[in-house]
Amino acid sequence: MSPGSPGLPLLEARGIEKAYGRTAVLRGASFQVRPGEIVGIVGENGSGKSTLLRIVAGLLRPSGGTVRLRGRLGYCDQEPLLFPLLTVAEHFRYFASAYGLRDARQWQDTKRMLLDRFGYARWEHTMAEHLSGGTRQKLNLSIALLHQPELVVLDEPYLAFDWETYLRFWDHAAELRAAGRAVVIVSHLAHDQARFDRLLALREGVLQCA
Amino acid sequence: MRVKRVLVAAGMTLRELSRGRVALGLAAAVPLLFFVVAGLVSSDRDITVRLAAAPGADPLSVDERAQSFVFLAAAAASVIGAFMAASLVQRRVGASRRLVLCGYGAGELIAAKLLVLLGIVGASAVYTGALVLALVRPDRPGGVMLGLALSCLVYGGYGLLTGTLLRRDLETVFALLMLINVDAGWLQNPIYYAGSRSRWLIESLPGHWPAQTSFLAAFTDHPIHRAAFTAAGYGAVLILLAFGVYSLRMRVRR
Repeated sequence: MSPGSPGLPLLEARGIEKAYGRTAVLRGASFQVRPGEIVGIVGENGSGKSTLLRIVAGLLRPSGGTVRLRGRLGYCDQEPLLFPLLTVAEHFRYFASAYGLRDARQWQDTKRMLLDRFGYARWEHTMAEHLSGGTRQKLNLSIALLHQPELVVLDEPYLAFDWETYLRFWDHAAELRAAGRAVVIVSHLAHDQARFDRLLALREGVLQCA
Repeated sequence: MRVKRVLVAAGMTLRELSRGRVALGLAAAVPLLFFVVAGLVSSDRDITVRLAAAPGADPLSVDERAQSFVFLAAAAASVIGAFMAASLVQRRVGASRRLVLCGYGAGELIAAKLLVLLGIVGASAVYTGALVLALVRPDRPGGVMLGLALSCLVYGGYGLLTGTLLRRDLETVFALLMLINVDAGWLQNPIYYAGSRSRWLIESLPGHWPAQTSFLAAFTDHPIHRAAFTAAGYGAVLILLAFGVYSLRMRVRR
């Protein structure tokens, strides 16, 4: 059965716990994400949203609980994880190598589509340290989408976007959903909330339907 | 491990290094500054030194200025190796972990950094060696260059280890400067060795065997292979330790 088959969750997180020293941040957070869903996660500052997403992505080890992924994952941290002295094009090349994308024409087409869609093609040969905050965030997001993953996990991906790019981002998310892919987004923005298929609130370390 | 991915990572790392032009300029200025100062303050008199790597040999009578140039070339190669190696592993840790999350093996990134480090070692040895050979007529120029490459390699290993263990730039600067100053910049000068009450301390420091390789090649016909192999072993241990720590820092769950 392919990763995107209906019925099988692309992500299952069960009983995730995480403590920093004596401070428990997550106390048994559980959720599932199915193909064709856009799931939002909200919560107060410091409630553990980013910690939860980093655990899902594999960047952090949970104190307890399990994460099960089916299919490829695209992860975008809220802080752009980039190489300041490499250009936008070099980032695509580097991460295409990381993803093991061997068909150069295919990933170059995806790169072109992402550059055009998010409106930063003219910065293709500019080093990341010379990009604006919003353009760095576009590159940060594009890297997570380059390998066309089944599941995209995004931690406040559009905070620095202008309004037009923000709308294009949601168009892209809708296309992913229509293609049977899934998107998990941490969000602070109240006007986002109608765009989600499900909204989960992280309160006192546990996820609840909002 | 895929060779192509290692080469891509090494190429990107080299591009990053080459774009830090101020840092490269300062690295190139280090031996020049050392040589200018040595040329201004040292005298033409002969001094008597004893080399640890030639224990049975008679004390050597060498020109003070020539001895200073060889000693400072080793110190300069150590400075270049240590700081450039530390920058290879300490900066962009988050972005490097992202590469691992996206599919790179930690071993592939390590192999790429090792390739770049070896390139730095080679370039540093040729550059500092060319400068020192313009000022000194050593008995065995190739041996002097080898000693300089080993100074860069051993301190490159120390720089890698420091860069992986410490997370902030300032801490790393202090950790590197402390040892380089005491070791490569002071105690490995042969004039301190003969009269030292704690020769074991001088011999156990990372700069010792590389500097001995250069001194033996510059001023004696004594074989250099033992000093060179010991230095290479010292460097290899430091590099292995550093990359062991680095692979732990790069760990992700896929």
